[in-house]
Amino acid sequence: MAINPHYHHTEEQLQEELLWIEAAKENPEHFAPLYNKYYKGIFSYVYQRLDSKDTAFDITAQVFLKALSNIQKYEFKGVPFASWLYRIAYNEVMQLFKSNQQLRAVNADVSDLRFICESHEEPFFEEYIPLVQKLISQLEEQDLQLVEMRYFEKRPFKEVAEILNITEVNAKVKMHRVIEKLKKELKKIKL
Amino acid sequence: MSLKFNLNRPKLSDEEINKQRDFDALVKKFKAESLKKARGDESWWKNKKITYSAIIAGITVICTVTYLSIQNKEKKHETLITSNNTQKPKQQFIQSPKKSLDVPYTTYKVNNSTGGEFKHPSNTKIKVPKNCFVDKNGQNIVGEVSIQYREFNNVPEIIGSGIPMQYDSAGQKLQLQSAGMFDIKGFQNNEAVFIDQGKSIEVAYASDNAEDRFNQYYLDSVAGNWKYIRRDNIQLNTKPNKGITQNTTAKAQEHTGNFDELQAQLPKKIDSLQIVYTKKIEALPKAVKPSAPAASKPGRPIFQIDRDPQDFPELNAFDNVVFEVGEENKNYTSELHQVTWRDIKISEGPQKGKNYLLNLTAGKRKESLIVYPVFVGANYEKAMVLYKQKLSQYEAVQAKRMAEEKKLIQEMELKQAAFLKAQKEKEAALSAQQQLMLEAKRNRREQDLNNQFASLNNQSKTQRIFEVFNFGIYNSDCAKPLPVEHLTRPIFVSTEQQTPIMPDAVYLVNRSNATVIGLSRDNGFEFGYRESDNYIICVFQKNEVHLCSDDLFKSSINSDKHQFLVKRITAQSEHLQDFKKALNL
Repeated sequence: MAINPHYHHTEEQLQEELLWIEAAKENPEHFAPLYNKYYKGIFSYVYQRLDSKDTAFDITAQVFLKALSNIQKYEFKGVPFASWLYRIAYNEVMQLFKSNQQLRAVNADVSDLRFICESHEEPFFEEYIPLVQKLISQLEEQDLQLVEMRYFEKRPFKEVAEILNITEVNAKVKMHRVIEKLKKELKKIKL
Repeated sequence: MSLKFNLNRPKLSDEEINKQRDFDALVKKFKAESLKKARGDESWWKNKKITYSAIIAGITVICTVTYLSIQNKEKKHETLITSNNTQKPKQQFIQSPKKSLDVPYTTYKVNNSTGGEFKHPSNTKIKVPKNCFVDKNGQNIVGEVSIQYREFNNVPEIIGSGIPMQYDSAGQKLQLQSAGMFDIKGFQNNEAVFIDQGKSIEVAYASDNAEDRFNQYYLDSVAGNWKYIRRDNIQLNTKPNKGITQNTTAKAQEHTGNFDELQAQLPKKIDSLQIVYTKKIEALPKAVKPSAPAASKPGRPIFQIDRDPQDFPELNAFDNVVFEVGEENKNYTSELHQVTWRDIKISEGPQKGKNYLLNLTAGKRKESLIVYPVFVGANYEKAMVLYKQKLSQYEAVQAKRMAEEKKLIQEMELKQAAFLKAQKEKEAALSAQQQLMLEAKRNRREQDLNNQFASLNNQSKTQRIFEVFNFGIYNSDCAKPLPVEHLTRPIFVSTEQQTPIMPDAVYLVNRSNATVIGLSRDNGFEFGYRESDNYIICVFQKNEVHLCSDDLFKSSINSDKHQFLVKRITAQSEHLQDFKKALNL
């Protein structure tokens, strides 16, 4: 699984980021390094959940505006600043769906759907694709988030846990349950 | 919640994403919203005192504005001068980190109809031709023009000016090592004037650096980058020094002139030889090594396909090549042979020249396999025969090339050695001459020696000739790549308070080659350094100036942390001279 260098931080990098945050609290112009560092990551996260590119750019701009407006309230909790930004992004995207302005979209490559058969090394046939799509579409939002982040965005469990504000063990347990559930349903349909 | 499932949506490029990244717009919006929020705060309006105060203040403002506008009409001429007094060229990206360290301008007056020549205290000569200046409408200027001129001869002056010394050469980030830089502007009655098309001011810049390896650049303050003008045009100083007798002066001139010339010529000759011979070697006939054919492994599945010979010319040498499915393909099943594939494409594989990607498409179904070009049965034997023929041809060409390359290298080395030998002989002769000169000098009268000393101090080694077609900043520079060996994002910690500081501006000075670059806040003041070089860092924070000396720099990089200790030198940064001493440059 690929490591996201823009997310994973050493202790020194976290300290450096803290300095940037403190500076941004004093002067919004000092928010630039944080904006430049996380722009692409936040946009990708938003666009993954939307159908429209333009809306994704608008929401990304909104996320950074909210972050800058609320930077005074930000408290360091030992995790990268990105996890705070991702939570703002999640809330903004969900707000958009609630207001019925946009459809919730799931974006994946066909090869990403193989995860459902990976652990048991079962063959994955073309006929499964619409079935897996259907099953994923029926997942609860929290479970869907897990699948998206882990298998479609290829994020490590540590990062998934930090974004969802849960422990890494909890993320792994939940993920295991979701896969078991999907497999069970797939088996039922196949029969 | 209804949901839409997209499969294999095309990915957006980084370029497309970054195009929308606009920090300035974000800050602008943030400020606008903050203002709106402040205005929209209901409690503010509930306060009657503030409401009445606002009304009174509003009326006062209206009255003041009306009064001033009437006054302005009456004093139109005066206002024009006042506003012009504050006019400055739009060079926002050039910002001195501390005003007290900025290099002041010297003003010279010249009549446009006659032109003129000036000598700056540094010995730089500025020649202005007649009718050189026009106004913003292109009309010839009548009367006197003020030329504002200043020079940057060393690192502290460059730092004080805030002039960026990074050079973007077609995407490659370089730093400029300066042999002399100046800023020249022209005004009449505080209005900017311009140099007429086809005219130019000649600046004979007095430089202590006699090396001939620099180029001339112009700072395009609109594009925010240096622009290459041409190779530097240097002239060695040939004028006799005052207070030295003609005979001695002639000898001294012969000595320094020859010596500098010799030193300047040698690297050029060595380099040009290197270039000439490198080109000759590159022009030697080249051969491409043929790929050895492989036989198919028994039992391994193969695909036989028609391919476009343009795609992979290395396979054209062999007929009847087939593609064997590699063992690393976990997705391969025999079922793939049953499908009628609508589209079969072959592309470059993970190991270039060794394997390929076979892309199969049938409707929505897409499969990709890593395949190897192989031969089956008798075709393998035929391919081997062909391969051996091609290999022997290749080896013959290669052997001939190696022999010729060796011959050329030997030839070049001999020529270079001859240059070096000639250089040593000339140096020895010049050194003997120098000894004689020194003896002669000792016998001069004290007054002569004093005059000579004073004159030598003012006499620069070379003049770098610039043609100034536009007012602005010119530089004689050698562009060097930015070091990338050890990249670090520094955290600056004050030695006094032992707390981190957030700088407004940071300058990294490489003492080994006298270069300086301003580090960008946007990427956390990241920089690279070479362990073999000596560095200092100058950090500006509000009104404070801090220095990370070379000792502190070395101990910081040896501690394997990104923390750089900095010592406050604010008291030594109120005057440029003190700042130079503090930086020990």
